[in-house]
Amino acid sequence: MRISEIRDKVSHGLLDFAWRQWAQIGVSATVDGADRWSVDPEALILFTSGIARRDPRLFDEMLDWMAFNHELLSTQRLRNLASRFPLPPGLVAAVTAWTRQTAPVNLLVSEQADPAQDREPLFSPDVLAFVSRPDPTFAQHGFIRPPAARTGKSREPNPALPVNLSFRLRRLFGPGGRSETMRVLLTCPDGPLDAARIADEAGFAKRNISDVLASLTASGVINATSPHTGIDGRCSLISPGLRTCHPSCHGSTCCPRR
Amino acid sequence: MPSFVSWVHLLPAALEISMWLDEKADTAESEYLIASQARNLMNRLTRDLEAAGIDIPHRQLAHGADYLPVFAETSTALLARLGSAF
Repeated sequence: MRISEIRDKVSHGLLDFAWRQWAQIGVSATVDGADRWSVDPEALILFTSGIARRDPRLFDEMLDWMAFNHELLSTQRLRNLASRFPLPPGLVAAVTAWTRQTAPVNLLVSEQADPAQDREPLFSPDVLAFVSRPDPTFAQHGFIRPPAARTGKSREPNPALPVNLSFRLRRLFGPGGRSETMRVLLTCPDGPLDAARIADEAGFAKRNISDVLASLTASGVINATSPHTGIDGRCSLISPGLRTCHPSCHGSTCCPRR
Repeated sequence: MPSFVSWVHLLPAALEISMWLDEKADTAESEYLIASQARNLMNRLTRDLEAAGIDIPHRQLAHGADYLPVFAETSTALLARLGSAF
């Protein structure tokens, strides 16, 4: 198989995967079936920021979703995880800055931004070759793209879908270390887990996660094998019943990995 | 309860492979050189891919351009992982 054939297959497969994830968490798109994993919102945003440089429509639907659901996202976690992704400097800041704008739908287009010669095209020249008028927010961060506007099509994630467990936990605990710790402890089949492993998967510093584990241990939700509440020991949920907190869970019939 | 996927390991690796392929798809470099670079890329990403549950074919005897089919096989396994629970 030639390298260009591998590229086409991988590129198509990854874009298909990304559309499928976004459609299940509230982006306007149609997919058949439903995934049985839980999405990781910030990891999906970072992945899409790179892969959708070949699909401007996906990129803009991601922006719309982020603007609509910003209270479900953790900027700190986005920043923590960004270094793991091979993204150009400034791209995550541009995406974050754009979605924080408070202008209403379809009013985010500047009439005044000047084209710049030394900025990087955001989208692949294969899919977008010429930009006559750049988006000012992306231009400020070194990227040339047409003015981005909210599509207004995004919805909230449906908490009844298993794929949206992260958002259900964020509604419960807030978008931070606590909800990510719970997601890892609820779903990871490798437990009991130590603080370092949980921190790695959760995308927060080990110190933050150790504090969360101490708090959860004190609440009686988790059991830690160390008197230092998980800093050096291993943690697991005390009550397996907690794993049935999701409305779509019917015990062993829907939890084949347990 | 939904199943666990180590997205923080899987998705950065998937994006890196995709970006590398974009860079190499139209290159004039020889197959031998591209295969060598593909091997280096996979050596660098093996830990993340394995953490995400992807079986990496360890065919150290695939020398030179013979590594490209191994790379293609790993790419297929990656795509399968991203669709396996669908």
